[in-house]
Amino acid sequence: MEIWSAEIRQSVLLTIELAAISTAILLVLATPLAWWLAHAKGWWTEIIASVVALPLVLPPTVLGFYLLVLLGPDGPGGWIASLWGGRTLAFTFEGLVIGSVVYSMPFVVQPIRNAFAAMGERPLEVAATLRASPLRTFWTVAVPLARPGFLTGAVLGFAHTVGEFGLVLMIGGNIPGRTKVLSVALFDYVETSRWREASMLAGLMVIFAFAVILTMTLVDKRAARAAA
Amino acid sequence: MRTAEPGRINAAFRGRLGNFALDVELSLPATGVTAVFGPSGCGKTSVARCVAGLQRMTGGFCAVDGDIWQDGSSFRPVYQRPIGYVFQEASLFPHLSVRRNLLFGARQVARAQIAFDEVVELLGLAALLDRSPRRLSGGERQRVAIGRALLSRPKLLLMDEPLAALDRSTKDEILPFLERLHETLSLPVLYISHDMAEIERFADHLVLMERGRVVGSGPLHNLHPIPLAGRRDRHGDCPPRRNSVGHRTRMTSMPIDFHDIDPNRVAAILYRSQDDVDALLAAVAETLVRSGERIGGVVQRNLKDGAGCQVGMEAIDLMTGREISICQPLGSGAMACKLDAAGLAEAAVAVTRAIAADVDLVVINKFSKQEAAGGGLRDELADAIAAGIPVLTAVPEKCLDAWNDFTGGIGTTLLCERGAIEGWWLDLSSRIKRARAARPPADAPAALLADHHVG
Repeated sequence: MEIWSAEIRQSVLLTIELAAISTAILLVLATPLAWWLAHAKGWWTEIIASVVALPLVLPPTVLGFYLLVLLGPDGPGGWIASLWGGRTLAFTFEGLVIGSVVYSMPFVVQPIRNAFAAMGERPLEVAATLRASPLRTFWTVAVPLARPGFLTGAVLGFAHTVGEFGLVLMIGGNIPGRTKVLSVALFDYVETSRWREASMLAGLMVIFAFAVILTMTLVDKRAARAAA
Repeated sequence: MRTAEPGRINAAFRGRLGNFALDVELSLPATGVTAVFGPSGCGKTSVARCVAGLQRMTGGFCAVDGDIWQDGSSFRPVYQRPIGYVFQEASLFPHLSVRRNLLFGARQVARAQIAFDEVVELLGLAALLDRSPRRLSGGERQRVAIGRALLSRPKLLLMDEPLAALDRSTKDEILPFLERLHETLSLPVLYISHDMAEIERFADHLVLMERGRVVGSGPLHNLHPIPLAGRRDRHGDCPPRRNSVGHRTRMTSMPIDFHDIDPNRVAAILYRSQDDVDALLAAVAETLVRSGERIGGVVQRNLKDGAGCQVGMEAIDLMTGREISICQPLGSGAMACKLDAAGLAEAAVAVTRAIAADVDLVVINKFSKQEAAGGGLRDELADAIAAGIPVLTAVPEKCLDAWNDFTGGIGTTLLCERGAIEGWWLDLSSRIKRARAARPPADAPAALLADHHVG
């Protein structure tokens, strides 16, 4: 199989690695944020929520531009990179992870926030009256009840990271083995008229997208059945 | 009462709460069942939530059996208070089986006072243990919720209208369990309810609440005089709410001021038809008469066939207990019924006879369109008022204007709920009993009833 070349394999693996790491970081960051957004009552809550949701509306290139400035040698990213002797976070895998996390944040925060809000205060109050500490309540009541939200958030975060293009091109460039993920590779093949590889990658993405949507639908259905 | 006494529950909470202020100070025995009774929205649930720590009222005080849970400087969070809380909705954890729901709170307790098996036995849960809460009926769920609260080994059990969300047959299914609980456990219980019938079945103490305030507190069997005494003292600081004819009537939605009602004249209970207050008045008046009270008047009741369709109306003379008349349905499909002319004439005679006998109270449980139009007992009502005999009647909301025209300003109109009326009735009947006990043998004026006459 000459089509399944080392080049493509490398892109696929890199993409999966990027998406997996980003999703893990997203879940860790989004959970407390979603919890806070679901329970805080001040006027500033919606302001923070809007900031988190910005990537939904902003063109990826705009977000990419700002991230490029921030991650570049003269921004905080450059300073962080200097900690391990680098010069910049732009055009690195680490930079891509940071960009993906920012870009996919709303897709993960929103479902989890909704799940926390939907369960209401009552289960948490009940747990408290049964002597469960806030931490135990969180792990044994809130998280299990919000499980469909976590699943949706994780799947969306993963899929979205796999599919991003504009942002990757802005801050990651097209470096094989470091930042050349599937979407960029596809663009590259088209640019260089390598249609067979391009159609192979495109087909792969279609199958992936279909699998994601099917999974989500099934998860939703299961959750609905469980709630009935 | 901001001191922690052993063997007592001391609590004081003060603060804004929706559209009224909560201002409650309680000192209750930490044994037996204490019922907190009052109309919806009077703040009784808030009291329970404050005691549990679910709601934090700054400056509040709460101590149970000498153990301070909240005072000016400290606030013990809910999960560190030894309470059990049963909510109106069972609120079981849907992701856990019945067994794991029951053990959720028990897990943390080293030595359960009442073991799992005992609770399962007490509440009849054995067959449900491995089911999901989703597959339980409303009554079963509430039983599991009660068991779950018990298994967390509380020192105080708070029950916030645990039966209010259930239908009557389910209530009847659970009440025996609650009674068994009361007989079996020495656990103090704070039972929030607006249903006097529930409370009378197993409460030992009663706290009466109205509009965020405690208006009475004491052992259930001799409670009724206590709130009255309390009320007299407070009468001065309550704004008058009496309506008079000619003014646009301001409807008082719940909660109401019961001390507005002047029992010497006319107490009209303005009601919504779905509350069936007229039927309630009829039932209580008949009970009072059977227990030997000197009450006259006429109560009217709708007659229903087996399918619950209205087929007519009957009237009963309270003094003799005799059925006066059965009357006509209004054509096919019509829901309204009324007494026919012969029935009305007999009813009028019954009321006249009651006035002549100088009864303590005249009850006419309905003042509806017919009466308003002068076709009913209107003149007899006026005679009773003129004779100084208090009259109690229920006026449907839609007849309010007619009522105001008729009473000429002496009536009191209130819009209230059934539960509140039940509580008030208990007060009124005990007042009548006491007035009667104090009454000189011969022709005493009915004004003796005026133990809190509004001048």
